[in-house]
Amino acid sequence: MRKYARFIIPAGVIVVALGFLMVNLSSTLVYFNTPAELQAREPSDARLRLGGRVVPGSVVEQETTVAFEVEDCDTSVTVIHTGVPPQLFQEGIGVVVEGVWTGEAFESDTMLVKHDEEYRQDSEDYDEVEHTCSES
Amino acid sequence: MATLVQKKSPVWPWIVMAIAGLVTFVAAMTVPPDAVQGQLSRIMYVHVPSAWLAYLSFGVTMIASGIYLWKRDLEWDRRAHASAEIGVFFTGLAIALGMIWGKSTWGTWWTWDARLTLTAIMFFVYLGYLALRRTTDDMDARAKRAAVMGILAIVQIPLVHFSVIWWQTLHQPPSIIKPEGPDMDTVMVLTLLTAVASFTVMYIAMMVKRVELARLEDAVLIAEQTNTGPAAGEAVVAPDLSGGA
Amino acid sequence: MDYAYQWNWVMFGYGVAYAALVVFASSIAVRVTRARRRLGEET
Repeated sequence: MRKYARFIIPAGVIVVALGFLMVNLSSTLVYFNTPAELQAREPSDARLRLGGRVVPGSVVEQETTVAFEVEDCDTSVTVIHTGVPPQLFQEGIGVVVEGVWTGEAFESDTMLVKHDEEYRQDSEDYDEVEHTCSES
Repeated sequence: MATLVQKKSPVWPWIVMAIAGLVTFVAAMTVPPDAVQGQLSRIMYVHVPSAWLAYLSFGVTMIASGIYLWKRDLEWDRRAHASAEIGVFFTGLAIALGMIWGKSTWGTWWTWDARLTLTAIMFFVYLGYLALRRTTDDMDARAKRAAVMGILAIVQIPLVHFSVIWWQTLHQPPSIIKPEGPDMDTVMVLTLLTAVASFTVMYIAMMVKRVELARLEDAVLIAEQTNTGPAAGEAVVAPDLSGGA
Repeated sequence: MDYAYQWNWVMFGYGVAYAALVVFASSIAVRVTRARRRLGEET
């Protein structure tokens, strides 16, 4: 009986945790929409995620919002973000923003910086075109 | 049973672990920072080796489990067990370091993307493997059940590793093991490989100690079972230890 | 890019990593010692 009990408790915890993770997994295999996928959608109140690269020169900071363009290879979408962006936020970096699509702009309140797998000492050495277009 | 207990407990693995840890630290602190991530990129040199050791450990568990089922030698079962415990530790460490790296670069401790979710599942499945081993004190039955799970659970490793390529994730794709070759400056690749090599050496040293512990635990179990005698009812058949080192 | 906040994160990460490694290695050492002591008593 003692042996049984010392298995049941961890097994119970593990089964519950696994069940929770499985439920989550089904809704997270597609983590974000690309700008092109977003533009194909109807405007709605549904919360979505949008991922892409911050277009250099497009960032406009205001008191409580930051507006910028997010692009992948050929499409770009205007994002109006309310809140403070993460510290690494800058022009040219990847971001995943969370919010609603109005049809004209993506209004986000949550922003994550998505860095890529390149590591360089000098920023000039980044091959930007290749990795932004391989995403879509 | 005498074969299970080494007269002297080896000390050299502790020294090797310390040196391997030191080499990794020095390498990670002296490499130039990444132009975008800055100093934060240094976390990679301990996060990636931890994740690598998780893969390696579970791979060794699978192979040792297979050899156990083939040879029925409990020494291979002990190796599978030792490696799985080390693997669970490094999976946990990779997740913890990933959270710290994630909070500082992405801006969040955790998010349910495919890579993070699948890694969490892998962690719990191998915890389940360790729990399964506690279901019985019958060494042969325990070894058999664990071996089956140790082999089946390996399917998660390609899932975890390639999740960042197969699905859209927040986590970036692999930097080194990819078809086009590494997307990193040479000095960073070399530093990362140094860290991975040091951690692999650390794994070997840990295995030496953890397998020693597995032998001792089995010896304790045998001693308990022979002392209480057949009245205990369960698992009194002496396991075949002839293959033990 | 040499911000102090970044070094704090790096040190936090390495602190967690090496503390965890020491704890795990110690747990093996303690269990080895305990098992050897039990075997010494029983045989």
